[in-house]
Amino acid sequence: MGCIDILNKKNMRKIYSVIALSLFVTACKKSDFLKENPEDRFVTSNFFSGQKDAQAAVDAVYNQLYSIYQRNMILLNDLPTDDEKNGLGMPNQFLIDLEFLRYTSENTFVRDMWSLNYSGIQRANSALNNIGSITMEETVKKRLLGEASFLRALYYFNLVRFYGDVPLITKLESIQDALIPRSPKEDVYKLIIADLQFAESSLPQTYTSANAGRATSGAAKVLLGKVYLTMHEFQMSADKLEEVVQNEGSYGYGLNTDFKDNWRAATENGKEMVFSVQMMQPPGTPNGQMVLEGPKYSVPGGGVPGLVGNEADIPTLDIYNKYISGDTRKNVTFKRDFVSPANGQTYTSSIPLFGKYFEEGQVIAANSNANFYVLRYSDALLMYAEALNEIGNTAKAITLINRVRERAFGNASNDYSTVSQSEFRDLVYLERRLEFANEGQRWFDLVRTGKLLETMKAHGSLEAQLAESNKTTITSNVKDYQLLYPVPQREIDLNKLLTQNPGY
Amino acid sequence: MLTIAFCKAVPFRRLSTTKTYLVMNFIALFLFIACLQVGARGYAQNISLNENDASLEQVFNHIKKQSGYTFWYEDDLLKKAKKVSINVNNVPLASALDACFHGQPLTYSIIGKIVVVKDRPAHETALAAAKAIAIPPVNIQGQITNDRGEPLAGATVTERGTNNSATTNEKGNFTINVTDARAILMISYVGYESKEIAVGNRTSITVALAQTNTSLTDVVVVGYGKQKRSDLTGAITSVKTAELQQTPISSIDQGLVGRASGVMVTQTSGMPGATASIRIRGASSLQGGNEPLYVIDGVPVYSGSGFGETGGNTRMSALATINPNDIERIEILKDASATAIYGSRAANGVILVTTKSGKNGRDVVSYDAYYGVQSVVKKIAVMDATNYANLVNEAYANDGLPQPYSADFISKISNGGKGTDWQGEIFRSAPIQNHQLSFSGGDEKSTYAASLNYLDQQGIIINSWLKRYSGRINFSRKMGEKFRMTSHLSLSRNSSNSVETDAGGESGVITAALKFNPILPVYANKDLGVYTQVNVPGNLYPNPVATALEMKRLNNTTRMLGDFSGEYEIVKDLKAKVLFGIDYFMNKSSRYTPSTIYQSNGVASAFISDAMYTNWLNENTLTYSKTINSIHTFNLLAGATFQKNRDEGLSASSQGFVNNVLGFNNLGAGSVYNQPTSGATAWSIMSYLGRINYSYKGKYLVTASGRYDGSSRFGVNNKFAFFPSGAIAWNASQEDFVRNLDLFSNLKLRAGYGVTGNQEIGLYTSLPTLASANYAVGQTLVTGFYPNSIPNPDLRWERTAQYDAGLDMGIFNNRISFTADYYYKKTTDLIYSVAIPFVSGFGTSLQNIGSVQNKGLELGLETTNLNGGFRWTTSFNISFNRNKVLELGGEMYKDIGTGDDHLKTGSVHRLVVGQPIGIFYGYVFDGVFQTAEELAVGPKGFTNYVGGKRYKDLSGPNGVPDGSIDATYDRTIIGDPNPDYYGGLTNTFSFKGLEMNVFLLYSHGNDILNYNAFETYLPSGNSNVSVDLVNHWTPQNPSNVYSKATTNRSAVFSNQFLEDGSYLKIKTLTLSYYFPKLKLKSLTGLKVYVTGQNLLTYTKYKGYDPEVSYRGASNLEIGEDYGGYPQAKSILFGLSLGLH
Repeated sequence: MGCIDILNKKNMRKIYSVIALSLFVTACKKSDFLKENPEDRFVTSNFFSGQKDAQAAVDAVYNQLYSIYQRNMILLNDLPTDDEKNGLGMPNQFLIDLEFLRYTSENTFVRDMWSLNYSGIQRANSALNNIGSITMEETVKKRLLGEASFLRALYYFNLVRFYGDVPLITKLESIQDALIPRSPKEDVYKLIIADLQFAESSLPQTYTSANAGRATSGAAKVLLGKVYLTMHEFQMSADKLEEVVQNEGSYGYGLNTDFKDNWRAATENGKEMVFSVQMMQPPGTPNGQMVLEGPKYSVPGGGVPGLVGNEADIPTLDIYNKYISGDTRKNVTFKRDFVSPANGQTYTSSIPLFGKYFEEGQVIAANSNANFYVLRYSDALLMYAEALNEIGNTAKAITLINRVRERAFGNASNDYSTVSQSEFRDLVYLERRLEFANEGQRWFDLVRTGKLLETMKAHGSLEAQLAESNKTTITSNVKDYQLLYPVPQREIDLNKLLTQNPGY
Repeated sequence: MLTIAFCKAVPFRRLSTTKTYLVMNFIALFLFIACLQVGARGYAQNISLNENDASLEQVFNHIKKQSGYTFWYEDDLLKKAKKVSINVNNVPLASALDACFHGQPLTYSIIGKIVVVKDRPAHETALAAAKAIAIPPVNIQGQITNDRGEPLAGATVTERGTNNSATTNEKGNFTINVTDARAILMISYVGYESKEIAVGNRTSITVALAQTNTSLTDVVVVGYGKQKRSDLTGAITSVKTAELQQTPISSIDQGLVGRASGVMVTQTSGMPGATASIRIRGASSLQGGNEPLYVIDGVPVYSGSGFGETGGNTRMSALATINPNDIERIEILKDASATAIYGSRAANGVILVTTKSGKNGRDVVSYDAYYGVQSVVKKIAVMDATNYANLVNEAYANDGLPQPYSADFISKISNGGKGTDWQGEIFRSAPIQNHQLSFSGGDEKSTYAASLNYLDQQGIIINSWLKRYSGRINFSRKMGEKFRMTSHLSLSRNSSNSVETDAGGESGVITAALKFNPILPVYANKDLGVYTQVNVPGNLYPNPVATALEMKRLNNTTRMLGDFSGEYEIVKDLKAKVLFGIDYFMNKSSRYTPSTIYQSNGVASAFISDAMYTNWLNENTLTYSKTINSIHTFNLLAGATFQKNRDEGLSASSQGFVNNVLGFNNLGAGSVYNQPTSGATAWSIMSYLGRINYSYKGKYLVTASGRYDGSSRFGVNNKFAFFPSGAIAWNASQEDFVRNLDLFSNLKLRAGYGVTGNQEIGLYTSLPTLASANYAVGQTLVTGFYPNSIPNPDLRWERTAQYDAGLDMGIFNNRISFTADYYYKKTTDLIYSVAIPFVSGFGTSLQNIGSVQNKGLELGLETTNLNGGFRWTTSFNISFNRNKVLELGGEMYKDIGTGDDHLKTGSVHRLVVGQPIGIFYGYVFDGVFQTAEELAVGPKGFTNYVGGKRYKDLSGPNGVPDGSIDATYDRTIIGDPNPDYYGGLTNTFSFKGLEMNVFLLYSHGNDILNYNAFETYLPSGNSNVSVDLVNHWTPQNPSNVYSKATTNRSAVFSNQFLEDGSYLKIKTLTLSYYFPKLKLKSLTGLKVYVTGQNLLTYTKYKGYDPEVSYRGASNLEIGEDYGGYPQAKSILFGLSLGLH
């Protein structure tokens, strides 16, 4: 055989040496050669080791505020109410469905609100579960755990208000941990309250300006006051808010004299800010609401030269007309005159547009610095007033609402005097509407106060009279189950243990 | 014993006499019948033989067949005979017999129709020898040309049976002294059919050689080696690159379209330098890579789906850095038997590219160039300004809004009421030119080939262009008797400027050119160069002319690709080879947006991204080849390879430049600096491979191969996998009973099975990585980190198992050759980002789920229809692939993609178990609501008004139509982007120096989602529309196709915008002339040609071109057309010069 020809002694030596060489070549250790050692990214196993890592884990929880509040909160809280409608700028079926109250479990914005809050909860859980074992300064550790708890509570509070019962996850080790049924909302509230109680005890009252924007104990208390108010635990709400209002000086809280100061870069982190989403122009995350709400179709010629606007989220005429003369909030909440950065001329829109997030002098409309509020001190005052009124202390409640009105009108000429408990309810609900228009509060307020269904029925008829006859369908679309949004269909498809809210 | 030769088939030789007679009777009967048939045909007067190392017995059989003469001889006599190699064409019987008996210890005599074979008497042999001394040698002069009369330099002329030979010079001339007039000259030249010429009384001979047809003796490049085509067991297609080099292709992937069966090439964009997407035997991965592995001179280079900054989905081709003119040949490995040697990277097929090397002979210098003009194939008819103004007014009026345009205004519209032709403004006639200077040559020890190339392609959209400068040196030298070193090295520099296209939505110049308000002029103030900024009223389309001219998107790529190898023959037949390869690829993408255009928001901005890829390879192989007793041929291969890749990149940007002078070249000159990013990633592969080829007498072929591959990309529990393959083939044409049919010049059956893998799943995907997220604290950014994936330590390879059965057939001396392959491919463990509940904090998790199958049939046919002065050859291929999703991790379907953000369609594709990848899923269009009564009947939908579109109510929550249209119940499968069949047809006609080559390309049965039509059929007054919408619905014009004008832009994805994308194209047509009798001092050859590309397309598709893919090389979202860069129609003029 030919094979054997080559296997003589002389050749064998050569062959052996080749084999030896090839063994040498292949002697690279398999495990080393193929091991993945990422150099440009962290992996969980090598990350949580020091105080800065703990801080970074918490800062990432804050980051999720951007996507939750950037437009989405407005879309679920203002668009499906009597405050807002779709402009011509963003013809999206899912937005139109929200405006006309015919959203389904497939609605992408309803889905996003669910997923974005759970992403925030996952980040908070990761921080809470990993920071504990890090060796670091105890006071800092406590503060960081408090911040994460505050944010987790806020995200769950969003979920429980939008969807009712939701899956309760505090630790996730594998996908299996996510395949669980919805917990009763009472259990969700228990976790929210526990988290906020921990936060109020572990967070500082104030920060230096370098840490402005982090959660404070005051923010935890005001949020807890809001949680109790939502649960209709009026006494507990009033007590908790009193802790803050009585000591507002030590928290540094008060009302800005000029309503617009709440959205000016220099003052928006001032005394009226309890907790807000800190928007920042590039390289940070700016507030895109300015460009979304900016002028376009309603300006003759199709826009203001040099000022980009989409006219997507626009106010209803109803809310515009609700402000009485002398209310300085009107010209902050709405805007009709725009100065062109290109030619300096003033252009006037044929309809009112929203103005809170409009940063004067900002050439790139998408780069507004204006913050979104989660909690503003006037909110604390009005909630406190609402809670006091419900527990029978209408007289004290009136002083609180008047404080808000005096700031709005610049004087006491529009103060309320003696009113009944039920009259006060209507007044404080209206005051909230005027104060927090376009701030992502309206739908929560309407549901909390039981006014959603009647309000929306009336809204549909009114809009139909004003301009658009097809808006009568809003009235006919109002259904009593719309006090909760549907659980996203995708979640039910992926987890057979989930149930849908009634009606959807 | 005397035996009649014609019954002496080998298997009967050792039969007993009795049995022999029985068999003889049988055979005699058989032959009697055969002779009747043959007799009817008549015997050929002359004989043609083409035998290599054949036994005399075999040769006799052939002569008998052709002449009708029978042979008489004794068995023992033939044992003395030497093997015969003979190649004669159409010679008299005596000449053929002379050639057979030349140098044999035998002689013959002819009695009637019988050839009697006998011993050559010893004295006669001596006499012959004496004669050779006595007779003076004959001097023969001659010329060797190809069949077009072009001289062949370096052809070998040998006197048969001697070592006496000569080589032709550059004019094809030779001189040789032969023994006597009976001498036979054997003429051979690589790539041509060899010929034998009996000298006779001539002293001057001119021989024209025909080009080899389907050269079975051709050597084919396979993974880690070479093989004779006749020894192949796998499905491998070789692509002739010569034809491609006369067409305006910037990279070789574009050139493969229609050239090989089973290879579907989609031009993703007409942008110069854009990548083509290649699917070999269908898509086998959902989310991983689907592009084939390219192996360039032995170095595996996964080109992926492109790179670069183009503004849209278009990606620049990494292969555009490889100069197509340097490519000698391309082999496409399709089945697992051929590809499994590349293991984990072979599931999508392998394309082997071999660059040109020098040939032994004189130094050759050649210059090749073409110059051409490209233009857009057609424009899409949209409304002119007057029609559009009226439509806008109508839409606004219908919605109770004030009309934007007064009658007075409309009467004064520019350009006679036509306004601006935006398509006319952005398209142009664009020149393309290519120059190649090549040097090659060699001697017995060394060969070299060096080249320089320059390509300058201007795009058909203003301001888009590609330039390439490249050089290559290939060198090989034999050192001593046993060692050979070889190196290939190429350097290239590509520069291109992209104009934003394929961007969908409101971006991109094609989109804008179709939809921009024609009433508006290009310039608001032409003297000051102030552009009309944006489409008003309506959607925010930026001015396409401003975008194209003012925005810069420059890509600069430098690539060094090379290898160095040494091959040592350790002992006879055993060779060791060590190869080091390097691929260094550097790309800089730059973008500059001046403040004068709409996209800038009034602020000039610049962006730079730098990426460096360094990839090294080491391969160590041992090969052992041995043939034993001319019966058993073994070829063994074993090796170990290591490859590592490191990618490094960074990007930075700033904005607020005072003026545009410095562009993107000084980011520091901006006033606001954005966050920079950078990254560094690495992957590695280590592999052990082996292969055995065994051939029994060239009849029975067996191949087995295996590769044990480890990749860094997979979970710690699954780093390694083994990829085996096996194949058998039967060369039936080597069997005597097939030979005796005298029909098949080639007949081979092949069957193979193998397993291959896919590792293109991204990097670090199995690890629990953290992502960064910023937050502004105290108006300063802080950086946070959070887990961004659920780790999957079990993540493993996608595994493709493939069966292939093939048939290769050649008849009439390979004038007709035919190849057919049937394959079945099943891919399991598909890697997919599986949707997981959002409550986990994540949307998806990368898992191995599901499976996909591809099965199909590929046919290839090559024929020489006319072969003579006028030569006509045809090459045809057709492929049928059927793709089917078999399993999706337990789910029945998955919605794919998000559709288009601008139109808010939601996903338009769905993956459905039992259906092909990529099917379109949407509503069914059902006409237009004509009356209020019709509207009341419903169903309730998205455009619920008279004049609005109606969609079919297919079902509802209770399984029956529910009177309203919704996403869950009323969408269905409405189209399939995969073709039923596709392929190419090439016809080449040549006469003397004139040649015409026509290449037709076709595809049938694929649907295209025409997003352009989708938008230009919305009479919203927000953007321009198709001219067809002159007939939109009005109460007076009750159209059932086009809806009412309204500013409501409700875009619903329905079958209305799915179009049949079938086409037949004259892809290229080349007419060339070679000057055959050129007598110039230093010019050895001159060819001139003219080529037209994309000359004519027969299609029902209404877009620019049916060769389109908006989502680039996407696996899942295929068959979409949305503002894509159209293919160009080109006319080229070229020439090739040979110099010395």
